[in-house]
This record gives sequence, structure tokens and C-alpha cells, in this order.
Amino acid sequence: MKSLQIKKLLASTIAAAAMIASAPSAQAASVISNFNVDITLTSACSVSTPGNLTFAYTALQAAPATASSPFNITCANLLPYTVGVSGANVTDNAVGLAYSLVVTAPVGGGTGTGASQIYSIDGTIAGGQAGSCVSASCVNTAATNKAKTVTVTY
Amino acid sequence: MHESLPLNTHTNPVTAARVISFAVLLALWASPSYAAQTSTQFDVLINLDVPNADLCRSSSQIGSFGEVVVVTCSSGEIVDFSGDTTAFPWSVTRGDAYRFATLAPTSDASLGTVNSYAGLGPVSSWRRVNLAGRDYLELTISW
Repeated sequence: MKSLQIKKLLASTIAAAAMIASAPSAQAASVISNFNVDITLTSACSVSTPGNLTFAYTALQAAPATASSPFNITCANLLPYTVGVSGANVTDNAVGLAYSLVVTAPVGGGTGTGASQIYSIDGTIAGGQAGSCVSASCVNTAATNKAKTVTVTY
Repeated sequence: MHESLPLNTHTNPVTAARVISFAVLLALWASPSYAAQTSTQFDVLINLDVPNADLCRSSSQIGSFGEVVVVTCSSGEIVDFSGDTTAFPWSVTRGDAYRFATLAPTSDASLGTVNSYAGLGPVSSWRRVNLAGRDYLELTISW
């Protein structure tokens, strides 16, 4: 009788050992593969259209007349750029008044930040000019050199 | 003697490829580089006012022939003269009126010639003035 109990105990032990041996290991194996994320950034700038620069001038007025029009430039962060305006020093060929235009940059202008930067076109008509006008008032509607271009180079 | 590149049917393909690659690289190297640009447009509009243009007159017959005297008007009044005004038939003053005086005729003297440009504006005053025993005709002109 006792021998039978020993045999059952032995059989149970062997079975338990077999189950433990066949159970999956808790330490998983892994394999690694690396890759890169490659990005090609094409730098660019955008410029908004300034409003028309409008002067009001009285013939032979002593003080200069000024006008200003803001616009925005947005460039890629850290991108250097320059801003220019065409026909910056001309005489209007309709009303005969000479004027000058300058581009006024904000602090940090000339280098992109990724955000909008506010510039302005500032114009001046020097005082003391008679101008050309056949009536009491004239508008330079017919001027062929009134159109200007703001150019951002980067 | 002119020699052409060895790109005929007997040329080694490897040599031909090298020549073409070199030519492409040379062309790329020689091409000018252009900076990118973006632009936009706007207009410069000018409103020119010429106040009281009908009140400003000029004459090239004052003083020397061809002399230009600029009369500056503002708010309906003459505010400045520029140029040689020493030959004006009336004294240049600031304000509304300009004064011209000449010896008045007496029983034994004539007035002499009359300046034909003295009447360019409406006459606001015409009077006889006795000064140091002499009579003068004073003409005040205003616009």
C-alpha cells in the first residue's frame, strides 16, 4: 500500500516537472531595425499686399507730406532676407510732384521667425513743390509710374 | 584642324557616359544662381490741391524781360513773393493790399506815364496825399 502511494507521488512530481519545462519563458526575445526621418525644407517667404499709399498735398505747402502703409512678411525661421521697393525716388508723371519711398523694418527684421513681421512703406513729398495741375485740384489717376512693387529676396 | 568629341558609334560607352556627365556638371557649375523672390504691388495715389488758383497771377513783364516772380498763395491770400521784386510798380507787402504812389499832377506839371500793370487787381483805395509840400496819388490794390 505504501509503495503505491510512493509511486503516485513520484508520478505527480514527474508530471509537474514536465509542465514547468514545457511552459513558455517569461523573457521575450527582440530584434531591432533603425531608420531615419529625412526632411527637406524648402525655405520660402510670403508678403502681404500693402494698401495704396495716399498723399494729400497742397501746392507749395511748406511742410512735407507723408503717408504710410503697413504690410506683413512671413519667412521660414532663421531665414535671412532683404526687402526692396521699386520706383522709390521718382517724380509722379501726372501731377509733377517728386516723392521718396522707404521700407521701414521692425526690430529683428531681415531674419525670418516663422511668424508674421510687420513692415511699412513710408513715403514723403518734400514741401515747396508747385506740382502740375490745370484746375483747383488734381489726382494722379493717369500716372504711369504710380504702381510700385515690393520684393522680398531670400 | 577642328576635332569633334569622340561620341560616334565606335566610342566606348563608359567614356561617352563620363564625357556627358562632365558636360552636365560643367553646365550646372556655370549656371548663375538666382535667389528666390516673392513680390506684391501697390499704388501711390496723390491728391494735389491748388488753393485759389484763380487768385494767383504772374507776369513776365515785371522788371527784366523774362524775369520770373513766384507768388505764393494760401487760404486766399498772397503769403510770399520770390524772385527779384525790386522792379515791382508797387511795394511788396504782406497782407491784402499793395501800395503804389506817384506824384500827383499840379497845374504846371503832368502825371507822366501810367504804369499799365498797376491795375491788375480791384482798386480798393485811391487817395491824394500831401507830404512835405508835395501831392502824391496813392493807389492801393488788393485781391
